Amino acid sequence: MTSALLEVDNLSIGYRTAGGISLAVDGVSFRVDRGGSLGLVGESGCGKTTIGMGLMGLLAPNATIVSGQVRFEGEDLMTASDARMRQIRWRRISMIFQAAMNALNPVHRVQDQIAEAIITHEPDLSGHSVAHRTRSLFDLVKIPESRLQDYPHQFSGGMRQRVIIAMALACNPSLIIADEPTTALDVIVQNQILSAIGTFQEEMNIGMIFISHDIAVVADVCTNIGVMHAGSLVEYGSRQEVLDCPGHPYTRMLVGSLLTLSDQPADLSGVACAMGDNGPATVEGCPINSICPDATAVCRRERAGWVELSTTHRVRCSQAGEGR
Amino acid sequence: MADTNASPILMMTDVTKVYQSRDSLFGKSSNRVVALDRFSLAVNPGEIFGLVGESGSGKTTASRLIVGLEKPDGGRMQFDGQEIVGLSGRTRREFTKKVQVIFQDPYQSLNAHFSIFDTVCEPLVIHGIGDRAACLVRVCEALETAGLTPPETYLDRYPHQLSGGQRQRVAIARAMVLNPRFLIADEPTSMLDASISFQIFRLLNHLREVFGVAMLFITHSLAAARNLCDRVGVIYRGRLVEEGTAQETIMHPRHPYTKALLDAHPRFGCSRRSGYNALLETERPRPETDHCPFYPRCRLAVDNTCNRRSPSLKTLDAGHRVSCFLF
Repeated sequence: MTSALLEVDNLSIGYRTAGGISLAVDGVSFRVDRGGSLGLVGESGCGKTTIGMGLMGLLAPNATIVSGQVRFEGEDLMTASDARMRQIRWRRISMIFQAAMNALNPVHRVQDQIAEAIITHEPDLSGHSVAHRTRSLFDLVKIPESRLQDYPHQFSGGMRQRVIIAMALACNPSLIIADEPTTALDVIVQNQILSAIGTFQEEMNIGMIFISHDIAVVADVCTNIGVMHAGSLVEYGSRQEVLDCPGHPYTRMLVGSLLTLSDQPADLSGVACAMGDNGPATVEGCPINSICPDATAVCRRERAGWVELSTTHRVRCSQAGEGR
Repeated sequence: MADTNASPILMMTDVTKVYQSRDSLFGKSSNRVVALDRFSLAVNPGEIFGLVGESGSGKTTASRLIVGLEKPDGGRMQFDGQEIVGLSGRTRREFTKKVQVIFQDPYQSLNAHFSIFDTVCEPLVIHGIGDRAACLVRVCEALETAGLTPPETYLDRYPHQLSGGQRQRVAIARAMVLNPRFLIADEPTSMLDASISFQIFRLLNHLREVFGVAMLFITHSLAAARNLCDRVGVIYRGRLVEEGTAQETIMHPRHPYTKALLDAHPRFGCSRRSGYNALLETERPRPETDHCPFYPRCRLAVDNTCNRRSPSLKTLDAGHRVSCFLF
């Protein structure tokens, strides 16, 4: 349980623009244990998906890894050749993509599409065992075998998302990156998908990085949570630590902006808090100093370092741990 | 706050809408999809009424019928006591001035070739209101109402220069520029981040409090409905299955489907697991005869009743109505 599956150290990824390199991911470090799950939460544009794509080696052509180290099962992924990455991708690290509606090929039967994923990465497998594995994957994501022969348009959105999950599991990976897997789905289907993800993660001892803008969903499935803002991690810790005593003002804003079903309805009157621009940081000092209620002169001048609140809980805020 | 004694601003009575897919190539029986099935609803002046249900339950069809984008196959719809099915000419114009829509996806509902001024001004142009100077004043007011300040800085921008939250505010400004009495907000935040959603909810609440606009708020999020709405209706397969105050319906649901929705909601912030467990894991086959729409998925269904007849809405207490044989 405790051996590190993936270690990311000081990873920075930038996009080449006319005005030079714009950092989308800025010095991010985290680790995922074998069978553990990490949720990356943040608003759109904070660099969550760029991290996922960077780990998969699927960055856009104008993106470049500026610095950092990624070790997966002891192997350095940053120096791995393209051929080696192709071996690792899907067999060792796979991904559940966002819009499942569009990720399947409409003119092929779903069974063939899952089989294709298996055959591409494990060409030595016999036809019989490919078919057997396809059936057991369908069983795992709870789609009846009778639907194997169907085309994607005959499936509902939730079922298509399950096919995508089955495909991600096709080669028994040890790490899955789930990028907003339930964002376009409604609550009942979302709940079914989340419980399917929880089941396979536990049963197959797979490590998971779960990317979402919805902290409530992340809280449901992940044991560790990393909160991202403007390309950087600002808080990192276990689920209980981050949610019960959030140390960073930005985390408190995220948690505070969530509507829940607790006994007291939220106060919707008054002026909305400005969450402001969430793009890569360009100003001096802490990126949220202009909207932070606790900002001091120090916050406006320099970027805070990490403050350890406990062995597993760290916060990037100069005010953290002082009188809290 | 809502004035419950006044007569409803919008009434839908037994509205039915059936979509007929085209006959297939070989002339076999065509598919009928009943989007709304004897659907009734009443929204009071100044109240936010939440319509909750999963995708495909008919929420959006209801909103399209109200604004006249589709014609119902049966039933009556009244706005301010006036029948609105089949309105045409000047009476329809007067009606569309009072009822405006905010659509789901701000990335698609704004014309990319229109500047923000043109977008927000268009309803005024269509209704022939004011000259350019007067329009400019009203557009600026509307932008300010929607929280885009200072409005002058937005006038000449185009949708691609704005974030999702800003675009949805433009859509809200466009809806508010005619000072409507009734707004339909069709999942206005499902494309937006949680933090931006919160701001949009606050804005809608503000519009209701300051301008007294009544709203039909369509959503699949129970938390949003609970926090924003005065009353909610839960719709399943085109039928209204439960209706009541937001607090009562969502915190003390009666219908098994509402309970299933509540079970599925992320547990965040309330450790108390509701655990109604009302949803069947494997669906029952849909009976040929008239039946409760939720029968195939309902764990609590009673054989020989729920699969034989369709329940009607029963009033329980204080305006809480449920359509289920268990009550």
